Amino acid sequence: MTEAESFEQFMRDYQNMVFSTAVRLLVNEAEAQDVSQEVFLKAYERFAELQHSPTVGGWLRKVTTNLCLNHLSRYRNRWRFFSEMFRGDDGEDETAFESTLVADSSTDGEVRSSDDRAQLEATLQELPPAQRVPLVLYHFEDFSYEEIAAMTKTSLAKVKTDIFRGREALRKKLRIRLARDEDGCGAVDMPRGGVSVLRASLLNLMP
Amino acid sequence: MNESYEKQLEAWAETALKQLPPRTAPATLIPGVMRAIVERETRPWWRKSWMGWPTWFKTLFVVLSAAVGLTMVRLCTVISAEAVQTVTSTRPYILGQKFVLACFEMIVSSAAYLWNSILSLPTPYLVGLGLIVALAYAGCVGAGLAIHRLVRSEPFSQ
Repeated sequence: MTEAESFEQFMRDYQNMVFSTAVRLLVNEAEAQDVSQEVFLKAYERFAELQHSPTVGGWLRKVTTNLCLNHLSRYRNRWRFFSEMFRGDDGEDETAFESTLVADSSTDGEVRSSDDRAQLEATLQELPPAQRVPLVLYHFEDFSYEEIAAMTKTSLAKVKTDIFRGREALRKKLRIRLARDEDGCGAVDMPRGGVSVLRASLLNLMP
Repeated sequence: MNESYEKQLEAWAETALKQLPPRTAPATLIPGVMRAIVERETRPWWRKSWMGWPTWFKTLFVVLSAAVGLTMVRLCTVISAEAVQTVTSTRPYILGQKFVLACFEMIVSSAAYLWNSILSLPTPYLVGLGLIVALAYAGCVGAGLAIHRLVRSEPFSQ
């Protein structure tokens, strides 16, 4: 097997993992693909040592996460720079920035799916970045609160609050989505796989 | 909000989110990476970053840059009669066959001259000079970063 073939196989093995991390952090699929491509180009530069490393998965996750966080902060800074330059008001920046991302996701073809898992995935993508990013890092990437605080350059208390708010928003939004489904607004394929478990566990949660 | 609810919510989120399958990468990802690798490898060396240049050219670049930099510093000191005399005396050398040796001598003597000049400055001037250099350096780095972020990087190209 040539080096190019080995690298292609390597990408086939890890592409879904890298892309999943990127798309859950960034929401936009085209941006996630750009970041995934950058991750694999970095991996190619170190392929000789990564090829047989047992920690390659962790390395890829870490690089993907860092590139996504850089990407988000760059987007946020640039958006702020231009919005302040052209509009001159900075009071609603955060909200407006977040709403643009939500709007992006809907234009990306985030149509309501009949599958509850897809509903959950879509609900997760609707969360504002301040809640979604720490939530994804905590539950999918298994980073600790302290690590997330260091990565996002925020305080530990803020990370904990954002994650709690994120979970709460996820629960509320998902409940609304599933209720809408049951009311017949969309086609529903009832229980399949983890569907009933998800619905039942959601209903059992009482604040 | 009570603590048991928070724990319950955390457990629910953990279970619900962990059951989500990985997202499928687009079919264009691998061909895109392979194309970028080929493009990168076939790019001529002068279009690569400094680290990708051949060693001989990197060496030549460093030597020439040092020569140009130090010569300019030296020329700034030509105001004094002594400096004028030094330059005049090296002129036959430069015009002769020993051009490289003359350049090397000029670089060494310029560096020594600059070093001695700096050391002879009073301490407040030295501190001030250091601050100016540090500020100028920070300014260049800051301007470079700002330009890179605002102009060069295009993460949303589709």
